[in-house]
Amino acid sequence: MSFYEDFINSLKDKFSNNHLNNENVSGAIAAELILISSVLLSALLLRHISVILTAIIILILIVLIFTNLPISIKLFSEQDDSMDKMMFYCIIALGIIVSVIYWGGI
Amino acid sequence: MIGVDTQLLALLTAGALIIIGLFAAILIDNLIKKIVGLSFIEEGVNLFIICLGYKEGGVVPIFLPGMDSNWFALNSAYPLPQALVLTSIVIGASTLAVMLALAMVLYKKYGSLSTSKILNHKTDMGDEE
Amino acid sequence: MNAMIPLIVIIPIIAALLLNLFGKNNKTIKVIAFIVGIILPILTLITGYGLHYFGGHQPLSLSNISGLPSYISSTGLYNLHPAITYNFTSLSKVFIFMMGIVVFLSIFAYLNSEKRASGPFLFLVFMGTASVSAMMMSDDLFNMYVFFEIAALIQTGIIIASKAEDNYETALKYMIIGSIGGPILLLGIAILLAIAGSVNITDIVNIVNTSLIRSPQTRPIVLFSFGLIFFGWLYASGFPPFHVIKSSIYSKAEPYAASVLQGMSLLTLVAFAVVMFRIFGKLNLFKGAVLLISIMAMVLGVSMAVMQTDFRRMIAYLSVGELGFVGLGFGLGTRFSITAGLFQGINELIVTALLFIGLGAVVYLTNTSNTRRLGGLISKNESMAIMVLLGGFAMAGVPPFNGFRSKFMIIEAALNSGFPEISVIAILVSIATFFVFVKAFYSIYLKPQPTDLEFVHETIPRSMVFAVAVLLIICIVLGLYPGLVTNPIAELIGGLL
Repeated sequence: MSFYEDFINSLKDKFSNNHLNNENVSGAIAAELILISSVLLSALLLRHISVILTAIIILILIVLIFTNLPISIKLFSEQDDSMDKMMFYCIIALGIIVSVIYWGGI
Repeated sequence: MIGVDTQLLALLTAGALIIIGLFAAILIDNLIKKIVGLSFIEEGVNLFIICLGYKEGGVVPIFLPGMDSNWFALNSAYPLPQALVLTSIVIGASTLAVMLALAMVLYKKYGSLSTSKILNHKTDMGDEE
Repeated sequence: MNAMIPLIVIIPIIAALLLNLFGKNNKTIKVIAFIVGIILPILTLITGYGLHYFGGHQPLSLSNISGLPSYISSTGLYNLHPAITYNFTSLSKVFIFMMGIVVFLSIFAYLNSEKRASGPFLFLVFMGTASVSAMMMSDDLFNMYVFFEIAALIQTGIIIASKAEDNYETALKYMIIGSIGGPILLLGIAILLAIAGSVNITDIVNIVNTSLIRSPQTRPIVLFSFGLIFFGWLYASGFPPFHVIKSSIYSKAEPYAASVLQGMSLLTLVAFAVVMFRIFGKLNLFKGAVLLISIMAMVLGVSMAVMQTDFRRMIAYLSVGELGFVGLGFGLGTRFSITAGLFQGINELIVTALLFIGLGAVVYLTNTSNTRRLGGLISKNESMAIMVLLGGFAMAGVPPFNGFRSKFMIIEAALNSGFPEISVIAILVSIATFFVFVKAFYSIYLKPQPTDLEFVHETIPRSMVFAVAVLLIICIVLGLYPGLVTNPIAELIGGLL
């Protein structure tokens, strides 16, 4: 039960409002579960490359997830409409695409 | 100038323009300067396309009466990129015009040209009471 | 030479120019917009399949010129396309027809809900339709880029024309990001032109697949151009990292305009994805990159949608997430999966238009889209509320609607290709979509009405109810007879593979 209380308190910290009703909290918890399950499942897709790599990456991901709970709120605050954040992710994506595709050369 | 590869220099300039434009997009705060810097990216790509048609010692690709067609095919520059770039330059100019018009309207609304003030509004999860 | 093919692009452009010219005359523009809106879907139905060579310039192998020197007639030069070619296939027919229906219903809802129709706004809608129709049909990469940039300007114009707050800031943000995405796409096209010597897609496919991929000097250049065109495709369709700005656009535009905007994004996605599949489909990297970004789009779209309190933003994030399913179809790479992905695209076009217009009626009544301030609207019009709920079920994949068919096909395709993890993620995302709708339906229609809710209008215009009803009927028909759409698409994909 205390995890739920921590969750609500961190929601209130990030978005200091007068009231949060169950729409926000249920949405945030649902997003949390979807994100954690999809990240772990898509890490399983790496088994086509190498099984040991998959195991290592899944263990690293589990550690990262559990040290950074709650993820959905952090993700929500990264994806607001501000120009700085959008431009940052756009340039990071361009950088990753150029380096992986050109120098990876698969 | 002998020994200078014109096409290589033009390609390097195009690459430099694109990189300068990307830096302007991220780092500059003044809105007008950012928009002018963004148009560098478009101009850099246009320069890249133009220099694809370069031919060392080539002639203008206009087939005049009295020319031998084999000689023409071997010596003329490639005419396709010039045609494409005309359209692309027009597109760049219209995009620039729309962005500057929006900058004018936003200046009247906010009184400042700083992008951190104008463009960084956040969406909130809770209610604005 | 089929002369009806350019008409599909020319008629909306002429209509757009006329509507802008007669912008002050309310009756005239309503009549012109209505007539052209009906003509467009009919025109796509009656046009026959075929190629159209602009200027009459066919490849030399098809024209009857004899006595050419051997360095032309026995090499690849004999088959090169010298001019812009438009190719009207069964895929183009299905997509442009559905887009025409969505545009007609959106314009119909707009014309009857506003007293004074705006000529410039209708100009933007028709130019947008023309640009995406040209993108679907064109066999020339640079022509597609030109219409892609026109579509970006049109989308900016549509946001500027809306009455939401912060719309100028959103429009400027979209243009700034577009000034990076568009030129990067053009750079990728220029690199393909440099290495293949032509911008015609059929020629590029021949040259790349026969010689350029095999040689180790040119293979990295082909991969680099794939990376740049892929980045431009991400911007055009609203995949991460551009999903935030795309959903921001859909939520700031007027609801009937948002349904046109999402149709434009979908057709751009499909047009460029088919081109990328034709040119780069043999690379393993193509499938890997498209799969990865589609999974990210699905998951990010639905998890952001679940946390929103503004229902227009909710539908916008959902529609961006549903496009991830379309990308999944291309990423899996088999004939069945691409057909499933394209069918999902058609369904998503219809259902998102239904939801935008249906929930736009709520904005029409109350001028707010914040679910915390709404409630009890089922008393205003029960049939509209039920139709919106059924539309939500269609998006989430409940039988017997069309969403169920296409999502089931995608899940089956993923299982057949040996990726069961993708099927599980797709099912999770569908469950989450269903959750979003139940939450939204309760907050808007069923919960007790707050006492301070003010109504700007008292009843929903009948044109909006009609538009939503027609779209719902199309959903049910496609759900019961999916062969109407999947058979034409599967023929074309069989020809590509």
